[in-house]
Amino acid sequence: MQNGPEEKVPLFRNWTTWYLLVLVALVAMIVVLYFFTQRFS
Amino acid sequence: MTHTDWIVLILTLACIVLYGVYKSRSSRDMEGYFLSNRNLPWWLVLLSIMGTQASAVTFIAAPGQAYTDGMRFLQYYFGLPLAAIVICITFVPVFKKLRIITAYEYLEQRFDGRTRTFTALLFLLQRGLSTGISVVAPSIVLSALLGWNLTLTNLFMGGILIIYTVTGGARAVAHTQKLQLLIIFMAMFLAGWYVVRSLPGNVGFTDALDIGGRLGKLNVITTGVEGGSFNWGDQFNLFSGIIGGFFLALSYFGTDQSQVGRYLTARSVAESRMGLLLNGLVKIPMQFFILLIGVLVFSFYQFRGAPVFFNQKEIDRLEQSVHRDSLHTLQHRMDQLQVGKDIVLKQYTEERSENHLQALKVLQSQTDSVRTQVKALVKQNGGAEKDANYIFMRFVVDYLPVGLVGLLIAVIFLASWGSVAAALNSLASCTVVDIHKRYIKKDCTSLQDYRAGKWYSFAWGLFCVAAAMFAANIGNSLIEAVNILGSLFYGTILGIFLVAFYCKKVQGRAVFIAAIVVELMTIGLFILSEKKVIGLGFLWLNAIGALSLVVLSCLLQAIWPERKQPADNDVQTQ
Repeated sequence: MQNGPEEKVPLFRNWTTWYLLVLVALVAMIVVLYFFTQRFS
Repeated sequence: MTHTDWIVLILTLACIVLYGVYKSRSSRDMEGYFLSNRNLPWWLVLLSIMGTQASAVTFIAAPGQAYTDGMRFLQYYFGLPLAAIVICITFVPVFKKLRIITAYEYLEQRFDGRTRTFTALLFLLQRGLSTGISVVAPSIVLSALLGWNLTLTNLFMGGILIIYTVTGGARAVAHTQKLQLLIIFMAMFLAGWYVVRSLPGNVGFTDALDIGGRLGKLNVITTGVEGGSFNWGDQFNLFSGIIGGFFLALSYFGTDQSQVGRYLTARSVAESRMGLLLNGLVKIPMQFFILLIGVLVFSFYQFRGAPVFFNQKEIDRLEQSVHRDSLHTLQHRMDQLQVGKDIVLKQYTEERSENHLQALKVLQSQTDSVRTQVKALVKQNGGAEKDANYIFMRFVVDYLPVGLVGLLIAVIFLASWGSVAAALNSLASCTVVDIHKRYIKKDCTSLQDYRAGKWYSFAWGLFCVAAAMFAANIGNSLIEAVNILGSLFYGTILGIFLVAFYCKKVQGRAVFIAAIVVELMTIGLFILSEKKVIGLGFLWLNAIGALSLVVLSCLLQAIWPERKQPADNDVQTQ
């Protein structure tokens, strides 16, 4: 997506990278929590 | 409570109120009062979003939920990061570009005035009632545990925050939420640490996790599949969490003014997005640790022996009733089971053998059975049979050291104030912008708008306290009512916004009729589910409502088209 004049994206070059980061973090959390559940059940 | 606890409680609350009043400076117009002149940095927006979402119920009910049902409630939040992405892509740029104060302003430009008013009224109804319940729910728990007068607790819980909410508006709300969250996190960490410290000498953190896990409390990921088929009535599993939770979070963060008003205070689109995305990232770990405290409390009570029922007020009532002897019999049975548990736990922590684990499971099953029988007695005695919301605070009052008890009680007040203050601000902004300026007094000066905002904040504060007084008579089940109330209306509100954003050809008449039909349908589904005619978890109502509205409005537009052309989203409002 395009960034407007006030849209200086923090840390990355565009927002798509941020969205991917959030998605990857969500998947990683679910995987870790799955193994956590398996470990203690 | 000791004098020290009272001093800690009063000092903590006084600090927040004074800090809120100190931070009350805002320009005397609507943008200043409702949106802090749109000049807040992303980190303050993030804390404000978190403080608004985390109510007192979060800290009272979540550990109790983990104690009774395990940690699977965490899955409820899995849809949140996905919703945050969709809102950042679609909702935030439009809201910020149009420089709207409430989300519902956009609907008039996209559709018509009646759709805007209908949606605003749905929001006011839902948010007004649930804020009243948010005030009374923690008051009931605290008054039962500490013997406080419920009316005075309600007045204090809902009344004091009116001081800084009315005087300072969105700016005071955001700054107090920052301090509130800091105190809340610190106190919850101390509580968790103290639970582990209170375990017997040879039992550590991982042992407590092991015991909680083996007894079924660390069930974070569940599929909802039972006997080869998916259970649609199961409230919390991976699929209902991702799909139902996605629609619930999309409604809450995308269309509920209490959250929209938080990220519209940001000074740019980028800072709004950062607040939302980072909330999506930190919410799951934060909730994980709150639930984990509930599991640690469960493990703690394995060694110390749990009460037969955590709401002492109901036990006292049973003592005065014809069920007294039955209660004593069950209490004696519980004591016997605890003696057995003490022996088995000692052996299990030393040897970790499967036999001892099985023996522990049998004893826990018998303990659960005794608790179920006590709950039945409480119900027969005309009391509230659910005690999950009392578990954590009962532990706090019974076992935490002097000073920390006062701090944890302060946490409940602060969490309540954080969410209620944001709700009052959003109720007032919606009333002024979507009702008052449209129907009562259209041509107001900015100073008149500002004054109207203050008066409506005050009036909504009174309404919520009055609603809390009324709701107190309903009983303990009202804590669940907060979540259910949201699901009754969020599906329709979200559906209207989804049509506005993604179905460009659909116009006002189609979406308005579809909204009324879908709202009635949602209420009908809920009634059928309550009467056990169908098995449907309330989380699914959001998804069903939103998707039905999109489909129905598209169908209505196709068979009964309007001549009027859809409005351009890019039209400036002010």
